[in-house]
Amino acid sequence: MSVAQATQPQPRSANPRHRRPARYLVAAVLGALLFLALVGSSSLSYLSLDRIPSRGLLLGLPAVALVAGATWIGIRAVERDSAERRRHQLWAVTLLALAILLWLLLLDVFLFTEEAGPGATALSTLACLPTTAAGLWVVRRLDREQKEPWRLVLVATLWGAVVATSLVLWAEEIFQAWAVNALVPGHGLEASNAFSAGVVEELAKGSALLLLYLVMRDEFNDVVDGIVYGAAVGLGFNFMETIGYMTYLDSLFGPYAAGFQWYHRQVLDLFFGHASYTALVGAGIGIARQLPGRRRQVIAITSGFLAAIAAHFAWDAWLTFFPLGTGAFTLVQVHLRVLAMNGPFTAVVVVLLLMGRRIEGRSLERQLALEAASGSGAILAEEVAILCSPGRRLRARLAAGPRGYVRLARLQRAQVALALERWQRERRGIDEPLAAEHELRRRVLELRVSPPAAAPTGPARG
Amino acid sequence: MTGWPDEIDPLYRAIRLVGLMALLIFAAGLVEFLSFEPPGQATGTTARITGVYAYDPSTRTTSGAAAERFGRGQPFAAVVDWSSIPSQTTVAARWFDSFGEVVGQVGPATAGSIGSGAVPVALPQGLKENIPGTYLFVVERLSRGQAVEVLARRLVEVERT
Repeated sequence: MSVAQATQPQPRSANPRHRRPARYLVAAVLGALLFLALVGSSSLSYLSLDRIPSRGLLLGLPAVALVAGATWIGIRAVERDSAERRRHQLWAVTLLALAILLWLLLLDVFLFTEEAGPGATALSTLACLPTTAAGLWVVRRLDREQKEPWRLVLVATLWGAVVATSLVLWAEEIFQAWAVNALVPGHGLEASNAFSAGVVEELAKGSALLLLYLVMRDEFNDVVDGIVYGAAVGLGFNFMETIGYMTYLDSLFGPYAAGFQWYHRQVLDLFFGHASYTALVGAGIGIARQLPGRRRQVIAITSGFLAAIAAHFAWDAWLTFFPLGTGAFTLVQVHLRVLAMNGPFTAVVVVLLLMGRRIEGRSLERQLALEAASGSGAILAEEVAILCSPGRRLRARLAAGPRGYVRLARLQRAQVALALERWQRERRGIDEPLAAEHELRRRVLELRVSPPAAAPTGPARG
Repeated sequence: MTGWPDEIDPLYRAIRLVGLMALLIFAAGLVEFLSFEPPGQATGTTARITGVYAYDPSTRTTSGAAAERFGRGQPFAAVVDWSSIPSQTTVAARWFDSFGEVVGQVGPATAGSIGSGAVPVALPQGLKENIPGTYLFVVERLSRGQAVEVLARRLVEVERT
């Protein structure tokens, strides 16, 4: 190691931060642009609402209270010493972000549900909550080696439900108002509207993933992570859109139409529609995360966005080429249509996911073996085969009994995290172990000896 | 550093292929758009829509003053001054509801052969009232059986209440 290298600050992880990286600046610019777009969208929404009914207070008052709280803490932060100030500033920003989210949600609820009434809106929301929650549970489990933290998965979902829907509302309205006055009604107009919806909605949803990629890079490691976050954003968007369609159709045709809409969007199309489209964006960003070279990264991210827009466009534009008949066969046709039109894109997501998991699994095995061979004691040779397989890990935890289960789960998570950190370091061409790796190794050793009596990761079975 | 090509290479190739497939889909969309919105079809001809009026389906007559907003239960119809279009021009007039469905139509026929009757909005099957939302009325010029140019258009709002 050279003198210059030795005097540099010790890098914390496989993504060393010697100084504030340029990507934070990109994230700040992107965040500012999105914020301005949201302000414009909210202003238009507010002006378009003739009146705020009393139920608006349900979300409006907490939003006001949160803004007041953020201001108070923000002012207090000025008076504090630097360590305390940072904590207060973080709280103030968090509260402000929550206030903005609530306000956007308020406007969304009014715009999406219009005059359906609070009863229909509440019922639709209640109907969509369990299905969306189940979808998120499944999506998070797609990453078998290292599940994404719930807080980030939920942030992604909230972005899809509240921020992305707010961003697209007026962009689509304005485009459609132009198109309907400029184009011949029919397939040409439908194609142009579909293209606009694809571009606007996928950009709005994908911007969440771009921000995560830029800001939370330690939690955005590969294609699998990208697919998980992307699908979460898509599920959030689908949640809000379903409520909008359900309440609209309920006001026109009654509860049966709303119920069918629920089944179509929350059961049949739950993983096929928005979840798949945004997962394609996430896949592109996740692949770029591990690629060397800016050009390849840009190509991967662009390809993901193009795929998502194309998938969305194809569904919206060519739906009319699969007309539904009448009678009992219609139900079969509805299912076939989703399978034929969205199925291929979901299949692409599944293929990318399986490829990503295979690469991740192989790398995990290699790094576990290397760590075991290093003799650090964090991973023992007989543990490698168990840690490589999620099934064997589970069996080992179950064999440890109820008390040992939680402790062993912690140990296994730390061991896998250590191996994945090693993988990230290897891919970035850094030979020396980094501080984060030392910390993870120390944590594993701590967990291994912590009471109750040390239990092995589990016996290796064939 | 891991060399290139490396373990991520297959994924990179796969996402690039997916991106190329997306471009093919866009190309298909563009072909579709151009075939239904062919360029170079503007003739400069315009049609005059006299107005949209309340309509009585039993007598097939319009009444009252022209309006841009109607209640759900109020039938309505557009009145076109067909003499404002060259008589040999093949035209059609269509109403689209807020779902984009055709809910009323006259033609296709030559402008000279269409009578002076109004173009009403028909109730969707199984419904007793119109669906609320924005309705679009267009007078179109047809070529080889396909609408290629809008000669006039009018937007009407059907209110929820």
